[in-house]
Amino acid sequence: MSGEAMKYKFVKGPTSDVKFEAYGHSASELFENAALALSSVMCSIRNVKPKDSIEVSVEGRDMQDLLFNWLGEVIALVDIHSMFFSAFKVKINGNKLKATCYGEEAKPKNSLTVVKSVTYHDFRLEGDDKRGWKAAVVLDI
Amino acid sequence: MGAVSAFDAENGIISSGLCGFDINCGVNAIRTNLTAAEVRPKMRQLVDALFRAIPCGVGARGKLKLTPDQLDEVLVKGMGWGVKNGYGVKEDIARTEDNGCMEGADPSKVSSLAKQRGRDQLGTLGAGNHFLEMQRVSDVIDPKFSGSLGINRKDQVMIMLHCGSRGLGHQVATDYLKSQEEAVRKYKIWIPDRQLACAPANSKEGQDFFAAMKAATNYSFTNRLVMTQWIRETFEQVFARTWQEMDMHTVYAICHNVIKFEEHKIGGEKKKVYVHRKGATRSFPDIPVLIAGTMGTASYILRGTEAAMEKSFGSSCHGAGRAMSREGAIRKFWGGRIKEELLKKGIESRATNPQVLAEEAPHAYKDVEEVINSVHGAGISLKAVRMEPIGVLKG
Repeated sequence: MSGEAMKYKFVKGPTSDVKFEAYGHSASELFENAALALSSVMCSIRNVKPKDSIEVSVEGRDMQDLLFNWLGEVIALVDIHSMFFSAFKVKINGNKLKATCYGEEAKPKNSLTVVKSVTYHDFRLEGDDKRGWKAAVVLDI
Repeated sequence: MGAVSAFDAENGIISSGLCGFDINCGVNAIRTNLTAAEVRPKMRQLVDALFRAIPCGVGARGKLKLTPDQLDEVLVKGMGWGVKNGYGVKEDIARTEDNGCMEGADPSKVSSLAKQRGRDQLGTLGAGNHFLEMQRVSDVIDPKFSGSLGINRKDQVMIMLHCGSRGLGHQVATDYLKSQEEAVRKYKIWIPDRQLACAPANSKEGQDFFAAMKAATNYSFTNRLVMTQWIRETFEQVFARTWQEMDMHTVYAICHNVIKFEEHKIGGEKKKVYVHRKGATRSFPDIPVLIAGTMGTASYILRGTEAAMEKSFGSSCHGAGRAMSREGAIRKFWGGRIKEELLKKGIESRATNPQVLAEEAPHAYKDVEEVINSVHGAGISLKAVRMEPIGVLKG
């Protein structure tokens, strides 16, 4: 399995949606990988240079809610800044996180699919730092 | 996935999840008096010019920069704002579901994040399954009804625009999915799937969403109207005639993902209900129903029926629907090859990225003919005009 495949993989989900699983040794790593999986649906991440960065803070009711809000934030950032992202650095503290999103202006040639939202359908986050973390996410496209 | 559901106005619920994320994703059909023989020689030039005129793709910004007050006016007035500002004409409004404006929209119920996302996106196509298509009439099935829409002959060129409320609508739906998820706990509502989050129809959570959804619906009506005007201007450049000379009038414009407060007969009794049409189209008697096919396959105009009022809360289907997942389509198809195949069938196509053509490959969707035969057979909308694509733009 390649390094990329260990970060996330797309799995069978509802036909009209996109489902992925993301992994991480720590929750922060999982959040970074889940954002990368999401970003790879919206744009050709390998062609997006991480030359500019945006810093964000996100809060949640609990860790699962934090992941939902974080991915929602990444979707919104693409529209607000007209940027695509190809790398993320996340630091989680309780039910809050601070993140830096790296990317560049949204060039049409790198554009793929609009992700309308993260959904609650089959949305899962499980694990701990000992066993590692895993999330399942269905995106409405 | 399409779904139609109706809930009692007093004791029922309103659900963001059952509305769909792309609020008022919809279709506009525009006619012309041009023939396919006239348009085909200029199709490459036309498609290129349209691709320049209409911003496409994820994160694309439009040419309009709205002030916060202007955006609020769009959210309240819908297409009325467009016509006042030189986009479209009064006749476009008359030929749009709800006259291009849902009454009771409240911009104060739309989050600042949603407004931030929508400010620069009015007049943008987006990406995914959204498209702008030039089509030729292949069959006039119901000449009387199609004649009333100004569609009279085979090979007449039509334009179909499929697009929604962009980031603003997506954010409204997401914001209220979250607030309604809390409402489910607060009001102790049992739901089989968290995505079906909802709130009692008359609760603050329910009515706030309804007012915000109306605002997003109005944004989407205006988005498609702005693009309609740019399509007309592009045709004027390419064919050196005014759009009025080319008879480029809106045939009809419909919504897909929307909630409407309507009266329906249930168990012999008239009841006021919130009808949720997610991936579905309104089908009222003798009103056009527009069904978009896929890039390489036919689209249809159908006639709404009384049977739909009795069987499906005045609703019909909205399109072919996916038969293969996006990932499956990417693995199976290659964009360059799809483009060549389309060209062999006489369809000129443009996309921001070739992978988009693979994702949206015609074979990734169900057979539109089967879908249409099924709604026609059920009597919930009847075939009037069949159209085949001759030029396609994808985000």
